[in-house]
Amino acid sequence: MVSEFAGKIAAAESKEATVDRREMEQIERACAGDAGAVDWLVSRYRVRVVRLAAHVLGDAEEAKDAAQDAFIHAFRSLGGYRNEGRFYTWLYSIVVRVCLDRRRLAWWRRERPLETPDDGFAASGGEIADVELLIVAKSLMAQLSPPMRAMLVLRELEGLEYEEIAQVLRIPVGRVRWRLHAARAQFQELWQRAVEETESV
Amino acid sequence: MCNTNDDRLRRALDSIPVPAPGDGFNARILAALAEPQSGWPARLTSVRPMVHAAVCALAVTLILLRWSAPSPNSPTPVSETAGAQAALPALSLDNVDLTRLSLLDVEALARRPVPRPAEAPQPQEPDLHSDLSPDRKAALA
Repeated sequence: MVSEFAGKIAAAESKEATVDRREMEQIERACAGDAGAVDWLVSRYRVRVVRLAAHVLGDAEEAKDAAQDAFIHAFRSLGGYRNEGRFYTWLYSIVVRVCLDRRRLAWWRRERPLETPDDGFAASGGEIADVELLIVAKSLMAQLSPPMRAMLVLRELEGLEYEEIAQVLRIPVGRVRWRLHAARAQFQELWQRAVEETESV
Repeated sequence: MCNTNDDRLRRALDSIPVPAPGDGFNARILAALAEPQSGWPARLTSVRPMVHAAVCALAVTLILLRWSAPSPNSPTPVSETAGAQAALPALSLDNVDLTRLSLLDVEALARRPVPRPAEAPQPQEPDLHSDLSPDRKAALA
């Protein structure tokens, strides 16, 4: 039983190492100007990048534009990526920076409201979303600042480690832990309130 | 069914709809990368931290200069008064024969209050009615 489990872990690690090696090859080729490698890398990360941008910005169309901008920035400055961390950590840091720059510009121009209707969004996962959870999640995201939203998405949906999130957002690890703890407490409070309201009705 | 708050939070976040990248997503990126990048935006991006630092330094320098420099319109009464005060004992000592005095006498003389020079008389208004008779002056008053 134990040996079977260890075998599965080893196989998963081997598969991950193979993927990483392939990704490194594609990065090197993209760095040399190979459009096929760029296409491969974009296809690999585009769903996650658009999802991160959508959560940070709260706007479907702007999220797609921001994701494309981020990819363009990333591939133009691919020479700056020196294997100091995982490629996705480096890419996510660019995505977050592009989104925050857009949010700042929007604040200066006072063009767009933070929360917009769901036009252009498609339900993720293909499951019927729990309405209450969705309402609470939206309420939570509306209360959080864009960097906090990014932090939450990177941790809970992308599964990044605290150190990786700190690297992406360029803040100390302690601050990441503390803010995530505060966001979780906020979610818990919102959830409790929603449950109480449902029960009282 | 989610048992913990973390699981519930993850599920809640996952339930928020996100946009699909859509057709042509990759093509637009590849097209943008194929276009030659104009020089100055790239250079601006690379020097942006330096520009920020220079602007901040300039602002701080201007604030400090404004704060430390005296206003050109304000007079300097303190220095003038101090100069006048220092000159008064010297003037009083000039009028005394110091050869017959001891050091204590000189010190006492220097500390003695010196009468200020008489103020210059205010110019009087010309008497426009000087050639009138006293009766006429009284009538006008």
